[in-house]
Amino acid sequence: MLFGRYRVQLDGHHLRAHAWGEPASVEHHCPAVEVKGATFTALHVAPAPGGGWLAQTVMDV
Amino acid sequence: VDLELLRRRGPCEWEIPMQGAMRVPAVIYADEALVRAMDLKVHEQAVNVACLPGIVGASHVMPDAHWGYGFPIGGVAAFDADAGGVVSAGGVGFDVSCGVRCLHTGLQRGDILAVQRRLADALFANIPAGVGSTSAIRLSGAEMDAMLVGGASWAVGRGWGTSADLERIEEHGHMLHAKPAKVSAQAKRRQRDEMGTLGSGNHYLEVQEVAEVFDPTIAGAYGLATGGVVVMIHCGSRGLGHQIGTEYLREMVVAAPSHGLTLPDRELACAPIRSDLGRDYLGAMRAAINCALANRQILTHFVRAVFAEVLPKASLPVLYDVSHNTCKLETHCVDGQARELYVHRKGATRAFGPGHPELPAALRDVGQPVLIGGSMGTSSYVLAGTTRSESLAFSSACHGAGRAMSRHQALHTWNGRDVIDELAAGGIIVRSPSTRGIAEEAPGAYKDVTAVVDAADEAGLARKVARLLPLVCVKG
Repeated sequence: MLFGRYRVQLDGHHLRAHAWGEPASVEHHCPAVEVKGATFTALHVAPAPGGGWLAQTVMDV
Repeated sequence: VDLELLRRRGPCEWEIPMQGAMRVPAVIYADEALVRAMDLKVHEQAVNVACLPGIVGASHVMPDAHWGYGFPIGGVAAFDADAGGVVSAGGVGFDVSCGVRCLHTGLQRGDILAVQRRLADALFANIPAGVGSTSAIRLSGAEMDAMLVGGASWAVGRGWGTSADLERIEEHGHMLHAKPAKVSAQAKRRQRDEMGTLGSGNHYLEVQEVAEVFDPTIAGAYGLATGGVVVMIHCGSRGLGHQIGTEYLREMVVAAPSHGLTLPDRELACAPIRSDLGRDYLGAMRAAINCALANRQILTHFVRAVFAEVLPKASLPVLYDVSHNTCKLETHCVDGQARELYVHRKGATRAFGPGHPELPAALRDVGQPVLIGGSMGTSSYVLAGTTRSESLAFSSACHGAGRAMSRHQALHTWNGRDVIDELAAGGIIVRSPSTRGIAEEAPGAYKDVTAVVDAADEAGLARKVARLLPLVCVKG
């Protein structure tokens, strides 16, 4: 699946989200590599300076 | 890596002396230019690995090493379970048992040139390649478990190959002590439709000609001669291996404190070999090795079917099949004493020397074939394991060229279509579902494989036997 639209709700330390997507299609999306897995490299979740939150992870491809 | 940080032991051997929490030194096998070009992270990671409990001898770095997850890619480390040794999911890698298989064809370069484009199209049409690729094979739950225990032997039992193939595969085609029960339902679900698929990224299938022979005696024993044609398959354990890596990495990070492990870097997540988690990971990882062996066996069957159609006079027995992301229990002589060690090879190839009992009779006198995949459009190499390699790095050698540039950089440097056209002008026909993938895998994004192989030969890790050049490349 490839996701393109998200609705995220934050309630204290709880996050609920809906994600919309479609099955990956080589012809339509022209993906280059598969994600092997999410890693702990530079894993970071914190309030962003401009408001909201920033969550980051590095994917192994 | 700054040479100031190293003590030179020989033309292609450098030591990172013991410091801080290191339990053993680290040793880099590479020439000066390759060492200088290595990311400083490789140095840091080799040092971190040397700090892990139960490590024996040294933390080894192969000539093609680059920055990996926890362990460098191109890292070799052996652990003694009796000395509190650990097993690390990051020390094996996400693509468990990614490896290379080489098939003879009995054909000559001229045979391929006569049908080159037709062969390329037929291979591309029949070898599922690229992101999300699936084959017509669907495994039920019971068949999945049988595959995870039986590996290539299971595939041969299903009619995909012959029993003669099995003796040319490490572990005779199936890794013992695999535990399908320790592989999650999600990992099995991801694999259900992916048996007999190449995958994407750096995975490929190439038809190659033997361009140069360095050691005629060993080449003769391997059945290689200049002008001859082989097929090289590079792929791994697909979604199942990736999922096992992801899940056990997380479990190992969480459980580390309960095992009394203080990790220099959380990417080094590991578990004692003698712990429930260590045993579970080993069982799941061995099941993933079987998945990769079965996958390459099924792909072999697909390749044979294509050749039967396009070049019916071809015969495609297996030369050899190596895995370069594994942890295996092996007996090695350390300071004159035989010891049972868990050898992690991440982006490193097992390279047993002449006389090793694991090798098939036909290869035992000359040593194990070490198959080194180049990058698309460049040379690949066949090397042979040496007797000396055991004392250097637990009988291990390099695995490929190793990336010199990130995928992102490559994408901004090359255009996939141009790369395909340039390779075609050089006589190499490339077929791929993704031109973007081609740009990311452009030959220039990799280190010079010849320099890597020369360094491995010079260091004594393995001996150069033959150089291969691609004629057809199906890129995942």
